[in-house]
Amino acid sequence: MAGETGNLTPKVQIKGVEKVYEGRNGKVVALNGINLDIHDNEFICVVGPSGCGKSTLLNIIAGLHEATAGEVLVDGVKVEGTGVDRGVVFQQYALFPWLTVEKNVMFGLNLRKDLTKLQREEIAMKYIKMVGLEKFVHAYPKELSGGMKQRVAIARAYAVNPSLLLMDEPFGALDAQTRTQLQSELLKTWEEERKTCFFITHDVEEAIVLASKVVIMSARPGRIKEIVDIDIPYPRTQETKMLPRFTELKNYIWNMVYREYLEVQK
Amino acid sequence: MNKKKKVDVVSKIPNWAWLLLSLLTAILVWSWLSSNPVTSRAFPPLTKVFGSYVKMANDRGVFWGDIASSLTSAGIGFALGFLFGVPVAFLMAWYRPVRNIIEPWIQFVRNIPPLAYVPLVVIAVGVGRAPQIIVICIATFLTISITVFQGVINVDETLIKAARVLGANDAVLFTRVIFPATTPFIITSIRLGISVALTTLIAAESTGANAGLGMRIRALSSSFETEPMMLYIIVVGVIGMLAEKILKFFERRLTAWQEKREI
Repeated sequence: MAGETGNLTPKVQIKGVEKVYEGRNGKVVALNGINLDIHDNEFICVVGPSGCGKSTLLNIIAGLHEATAGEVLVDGVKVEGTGVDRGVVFQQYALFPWLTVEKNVMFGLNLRKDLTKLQREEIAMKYIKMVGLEKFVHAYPKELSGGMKQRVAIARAYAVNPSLLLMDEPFGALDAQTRTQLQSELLKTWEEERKTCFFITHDVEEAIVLASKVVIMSARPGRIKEIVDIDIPYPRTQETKMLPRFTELKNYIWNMVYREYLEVQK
Repeated sequence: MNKKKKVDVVSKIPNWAWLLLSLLTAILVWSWLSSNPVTSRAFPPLTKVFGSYVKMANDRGVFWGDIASSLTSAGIGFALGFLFGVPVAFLMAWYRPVRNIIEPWIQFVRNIPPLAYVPLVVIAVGVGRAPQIIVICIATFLTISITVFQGVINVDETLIKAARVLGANDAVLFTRVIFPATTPFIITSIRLGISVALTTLIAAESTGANAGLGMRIRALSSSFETEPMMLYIIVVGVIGMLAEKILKFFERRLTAWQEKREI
């Protein structure tokens, strides 16, 4: 089945998506005419000023919000509500504070009837090891730092093996050092499996070092302004940020985003 | 420097010693009040207050019966209030129509002193144990339902989202996310409920009860027997403190995961 459609059908098709909120001061158009195809094994980073509707778009793909118009297809199937084929990592970690690291990672696995307890534990352990937290298996979230919490959240999202990973400014609340560290870890993980990824950030450097494509959005109403191919080959590391091509791309994208930012200020 | 040293001394004193110190201070203040001519009539010497135990327990033989009666009424009333209050709180949080209809009732009845609706209860069910239980049940129900309701609507929205994207349906969401997230509020509601059950005793036992702490406090007050009355008041306070200790024990086990400010 997959062979028939092959790589011709995009993994995600966003078709004419529009989102209008009924605010107290009338209608607010958060998203307007969004069209975007995301292909298998792509790492898409979305950048844009605050209020450009990046998070709204992610929530619509996740099935947490409904689009006012248009539709999103994942593997050719229209998105209606959430599904385990789409994993989400939130900026605010969203760990269950009453569950240990292991139980948090197992949350999604525990909802699957086809796995034995042992299998679930094995899968959870695999991803806890992947994020390097094997020493904290039985710790509660309150005992972890921000960076560790987000590692647990990433392991939890990976554990249910979604075919699409949605990340909503996952490193936005972390300090600069932890942030670069988690970027490197995410790059390493991603380069192994190349799981299709839709990643929101307002950090242009972060977008370029991670993404195969950067989507620049404009604000009010949220629209796609430009899509920039990041032609720096993987594997990438923090040293990628030293390359002249990186600087070039950064200046270009930063300029576009900055202009949007000025628009919003007006 | 000086201040830091003081803080060290404070943190070195163990909790039981603090409790002892608090008790000694209370006794000291009480002794002063009972030796002061202005307040001595309201605060008889503690020796006499505790001495009146013999009068109540041996001569009249009602002391332990009063405690048992009040604990029965308060216990059953509280249990029923909790049993109704928690589901109603969840229903109010889950279904908007339920909330819109029931919440105003609760807010309305909540501020009426129980003593005011005691006659209605007696007219409805007569005298005896039943009206006592009903009055305590109403009072605890109101407190518990409002507290738990606040807890449910304050559950972090992103936790619900996180559970949904991991494949949780409504039933899973309720049992594995909303319910555990609400536990701290349920424990708080129990704490407030116990307090309400005890403070409602006097009203509840003014329904023609023939035993009970509240009923006895009223009776002793009208016969101007200050010493045994004070003894009974102290008993109510001690019961409240013991209940709190037991609750603390369970709270530590159930909500150890919670991020708490160290004081």
